Amino acid sequence: MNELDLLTRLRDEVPLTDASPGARRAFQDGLAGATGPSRARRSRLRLRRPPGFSPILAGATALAVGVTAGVAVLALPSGRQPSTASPAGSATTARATPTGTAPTGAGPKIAGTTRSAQLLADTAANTVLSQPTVKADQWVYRKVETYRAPLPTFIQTKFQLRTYNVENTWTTADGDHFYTTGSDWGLGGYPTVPYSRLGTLPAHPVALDAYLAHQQYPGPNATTANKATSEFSGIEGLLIAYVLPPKLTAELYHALADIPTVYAKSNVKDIAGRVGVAFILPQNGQSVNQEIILSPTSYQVIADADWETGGHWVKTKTGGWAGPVPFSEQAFLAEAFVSGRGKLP
Amino acid sequence: MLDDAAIIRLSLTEPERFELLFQRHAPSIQRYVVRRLGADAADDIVSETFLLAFRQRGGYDCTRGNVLPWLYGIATNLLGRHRRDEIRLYRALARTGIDPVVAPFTDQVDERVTATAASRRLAAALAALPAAYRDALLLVTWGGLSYEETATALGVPVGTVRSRISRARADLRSTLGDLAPASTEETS
Repeated sequence: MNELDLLTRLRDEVPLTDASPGARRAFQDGLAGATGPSRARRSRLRLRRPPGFSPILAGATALAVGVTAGVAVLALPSGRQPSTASPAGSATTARATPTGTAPTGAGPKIAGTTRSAQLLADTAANTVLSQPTVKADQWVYRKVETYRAPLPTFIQTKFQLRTYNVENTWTTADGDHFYTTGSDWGLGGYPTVPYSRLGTLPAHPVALDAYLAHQQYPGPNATTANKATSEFSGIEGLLIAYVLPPKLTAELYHALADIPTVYAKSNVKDIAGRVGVAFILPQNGQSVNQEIILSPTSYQVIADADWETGGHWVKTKTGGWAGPVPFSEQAFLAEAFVSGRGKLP
Repeated sequence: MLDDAAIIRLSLTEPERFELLFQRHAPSIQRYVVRRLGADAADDIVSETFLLAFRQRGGYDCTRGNVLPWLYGIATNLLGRHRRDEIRLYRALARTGIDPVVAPFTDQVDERVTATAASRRLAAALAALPAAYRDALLLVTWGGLSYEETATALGVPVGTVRSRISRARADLRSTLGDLAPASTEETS
C-alpha cells in the first residue's frame, strides 16, 4: 500500500451522501436572495421537487365530483391496487428495506415484447385525450418508490448508501410547490420548459422534437445521438414534472415515437412488479438506456428508469472505482388529487 | 439528462435551474470538504461554493462540459481561508490516532480509533506539506480529478500540477518510510 492508497483509504472513511440539509438550506437561501424575492420563493419551491412527477391518471369523472368534496382518488395505473399503496406514514415505514434489498421487479427490464413505437404512441395518445385538463394549482398526492441498484460488493464499504426509498409527496400540477415527508429522493426527469411556456411549444411532433433538441444543442454540430438524447430526456422531464394538458401529453407520445432508435415494449415490469408498456431509448454515445413505462390501461406514466449495459468496473489510477451506471428507477405507486398539501386521499 | 453546460446555459435566463447542479455535484464537493475540514465547517463552504459558482456562471466556458473541476477549484480556494483549522485536524489525527473527521459518521468508539501507524504518519505529513502541494495532491486523490482537471481547478499549467504532486508524494513517502513502499506507478 503506497501513499496514494493510504490517502484514498482516508478519503473513503467519509461517506458519499446527499448534501447535508444545512448546506442545501444555505444554498437555497442564497439563491433566493440572488434571484429576487418573488422569483426566489418560486424557484425554491419548484426546485425542491424531486424530479419525479407524472401526469395525473385517469379518473375524470371522479375528479369533477371529488375535488368539490375536497379529495379525489384516482385509479392506479395497473396491477397494484390502492390497498397495497396505502396512505402515508405506516406503509412508507413498513416498506422501507435495508440497503441492497431489491424490490420486486428491480433490474433492467429490456425483457418484453417489442412493438411499434408509432402504434404505442397512437394508442396512448388516443387514450389520454379523453382525460381532464387540470388547473395549475391543483394539489396532487403521490407515493413514490425509488430504487438504485447497489454497487458491486467488492467496492462496497461500511458507508454503502441506501438503495431503496418510499415517500409521500404533494405537489401542484404546475410543479410550483412541492412537499414531502420523506427524504426527497429523485432520479431524473427535470423539465426544460417552464409550465407557463407549455402553450408556446410546437404542436407537430417532429417540430417538438427539433425544439427540444435545439434547447440543449443550439449549434450546428449536434449529432443524432445528441438530439435523440435531449429529445427523449426533454419529453421525460415534461411528462414527469407536470400534470400536462391531455393534448400536449398526446403530442409528446407522438414525439417520442418519432425519435430515431426509440422503440416500444409490451409486458415490461416496473420495480413494484406492475406490468406496463414502455418507450425505450437504447444506450448511445451520449446516453445510458432510458425507459418510460406507461400504464397499459390509462397510458399515463407509472415509472421511469435508466441503466447502462456493458462495461465493467475498473480501479482508477487514484484508487477509486469507475464502472457502468447502475440500474435506477422511480415508480409512482399511488396518485390522487387532494385539497391541499399534506392531505391524504 | 441535461449535461452541466446545458444547465448553465439555461440558468442564465432561468436562474432556478442552477439548483440542478447543486443536486448533482454537492455530494462530491461535500465529501471533499468534509474530509479536509470536518463536517461542522463543511455546510458553509459547500453552499458558498455553489453560490459563488452561480454568481460567476456567466463567465463559465460551456465548451468545457463537466463543471466539477471548476467547482472543486472554488471549494479549494474557500478552503484556503481555513488552512490552520485543516492542519489542526491532521495534527489531531497524527497525535491521538482518532480521526476527528470520521467521528460524526460512526457511533462506536472502537470504530473511531481507525488510524493505523501509517495513517497517523500520513496525517502528520499532510500537515507539513506546503499548501499548494497539498491542494494539488488532494484534488487528485480525494477529489478524483485528473491532472488536467486539477490544472483547470487551480488555474495553473498541468506541468505545475505534475511537479507539485511529484514533490508532495516524495515528501509523504519520506515521512511514511517503510510503511509505504515507493511506487513506480505515476498517476496522470
